[in-house]
Amino acid sequence: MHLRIDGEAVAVPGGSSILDACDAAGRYVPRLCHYPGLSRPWAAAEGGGPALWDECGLCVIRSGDGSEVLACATAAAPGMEIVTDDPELRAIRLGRLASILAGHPHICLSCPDRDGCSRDVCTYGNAPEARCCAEFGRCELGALVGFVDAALALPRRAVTASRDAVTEGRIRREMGLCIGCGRCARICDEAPEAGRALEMGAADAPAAGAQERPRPVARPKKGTLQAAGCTFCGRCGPACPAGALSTPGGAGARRPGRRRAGSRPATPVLPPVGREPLTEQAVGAVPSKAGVLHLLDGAGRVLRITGAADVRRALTEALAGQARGEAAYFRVELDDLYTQRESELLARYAQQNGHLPPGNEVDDDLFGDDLP
Amino acid sequence: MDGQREFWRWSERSWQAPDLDRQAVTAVTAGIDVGSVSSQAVLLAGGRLVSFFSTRTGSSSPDSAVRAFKGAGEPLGITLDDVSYTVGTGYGRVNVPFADRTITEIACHARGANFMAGPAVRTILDMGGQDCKVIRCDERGKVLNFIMNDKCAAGTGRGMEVIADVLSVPIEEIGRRSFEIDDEPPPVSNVCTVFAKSEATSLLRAGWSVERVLAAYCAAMAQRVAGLIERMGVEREFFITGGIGKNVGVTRRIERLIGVEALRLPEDSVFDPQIAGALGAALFAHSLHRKREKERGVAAGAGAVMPPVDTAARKDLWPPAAGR
Repeated sequence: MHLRIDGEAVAVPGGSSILDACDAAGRYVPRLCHYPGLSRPWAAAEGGGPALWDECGLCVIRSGDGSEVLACATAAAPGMEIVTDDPELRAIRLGRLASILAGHPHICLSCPDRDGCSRDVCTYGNAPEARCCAEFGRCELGALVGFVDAALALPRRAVTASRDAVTEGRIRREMGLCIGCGRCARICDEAPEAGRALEMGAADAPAAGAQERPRPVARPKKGTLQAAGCTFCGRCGPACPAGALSTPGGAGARRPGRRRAGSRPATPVLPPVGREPLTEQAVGAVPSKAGVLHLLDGAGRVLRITGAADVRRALTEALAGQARGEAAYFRVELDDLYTQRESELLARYAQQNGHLPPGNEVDDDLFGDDLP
Repeated sequence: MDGQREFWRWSERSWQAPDLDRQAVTAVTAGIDVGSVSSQAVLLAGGRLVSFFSTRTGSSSPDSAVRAFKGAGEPLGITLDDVSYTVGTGYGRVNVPFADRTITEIACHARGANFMAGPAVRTILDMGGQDCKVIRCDERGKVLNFIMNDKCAAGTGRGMEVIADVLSVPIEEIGRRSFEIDDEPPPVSNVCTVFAKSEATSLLRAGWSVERVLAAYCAAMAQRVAGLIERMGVEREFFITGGIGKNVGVTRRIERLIGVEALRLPEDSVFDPQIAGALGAALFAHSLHRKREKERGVAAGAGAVMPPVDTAARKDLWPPAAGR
């Protein structure tokens, strides 16, 4: 069956969802509750039962008739015209992401030590309840936030949550970090080797100031994983996008036995590095703070990496000069020591590409011998 | 122990071209390098080096920039009004209040090293106050690639200052004294600036001489930097800039580790490796000034354009003439 995604023709097998089709086309659409090989989170509600929890809603896309639908919940149909990215879709996703981040500690996303830290102490004095977790720098949620909000329109705040952690076998639970996506509970229910030990339940208390009903959190069906019949297959940890469930020291808590070897964990589609279109609207959402900006061309190639005392102003200037350049997208990160950060990012780029970004090259006519 | 003396304090350095005819000094361009530990100003007149000054960066970057400029300009009676174009560089480049433009310290160091040590330079090691970079450049001093150390002051100029204080050795003597040993000690295991004091003290207590501790520390620093250089690979010629470039205790040990000798400036050279960034900035300022003059000339319909003096200036200066 053939359909068009962002103008590109894609062929997918019958029965695919729009999200499957987008993945096949290499168009990442953000998602938290969806996980390959699992049922949809609110399937129970469709069968007539009460909805246990809300879907994340991040995979919203625009279908051919202009309506906004969830890509994971909508079957692909022949001839469909799908738009995965426009300003309205971005705004919807930002709103949904904001409510997810309201209860999840995420000050780690603006930490100046984003490139690495021993995590023994917090140099920046964040309260223990707001600090980063063991997945610092590599969690799916963080990458997703970078994708959905490359303009840093959502303030990165010090949200606190209970950080009590329990380790059973090699499965570590830190349920204060749970964002209620339900992946783990569905894996536990649906993977053949899993023990059906996890369920989604109401959060103990709504987050202070929360306007919506609190997202449910995952929990063992009985007091401990062992009591609930956990087989310690370790499938839940790698699926958790938020660091609430993890299997420190290995991909699985315990090697699945031979008889379970037939079931292989699915490979999730992870967020690529995000970018925003260089438009007045997107630039307007960028905070007026010190940081470093990347300017990218239409194909996503980095044109220039620049530190600025006010990234919004620097982007406004780039926007004004757009007619002369080829910049089509941008992304920003905030850092008070932006001249140093600029050098670090330039060094990283140069190491990966063997040269500087074209816009960071000093003009040839500034080298004395070339003067006319 | 001498509580009054500040062993870490390196001397400010000032140089002016001898026998300079003040009236002939025109088309002055300035390069100001405000680094994390030191600030430099270099003044060129028509592309010729006329003055430079190197000082410590104070608590205020703009003040340091002004102080560095005055240090270079005042002996010649040059004020900001006489300067046609200024380029700011270094981590504090955005805090040079009188800069016409800023250019990264990476580009400036490469350009400055190219001018200072000649067009054969391909690999530059810049050992600064709080970081360390290995830069690959072409024959014009244009950056091709570079790499820098992580966010850590260990093995940099600031770390050396701490060691000078801990061991009460004037910082400019560290390099020489680190070779006054019978055999090379193993490098200290930890070059962390914070732990330097306890590490050095425990070595002294274990009966090590001050020279031996210096050697172990210089060796550790060299080892750290050599790793960085090897990641980039060395292409000849190799040149070292920045404050630590003047510390033979570190530079010789780096050469030993990577098996490549760094290009040395002639004995009578006026250049100081620490001014490479500001020198590069001043050279860019000169080119930018000429470019602007040319554009103005074109705009005004005038045919007269400043002659290209830069190449000639380098010939005058290369090999560099003796200082005062």
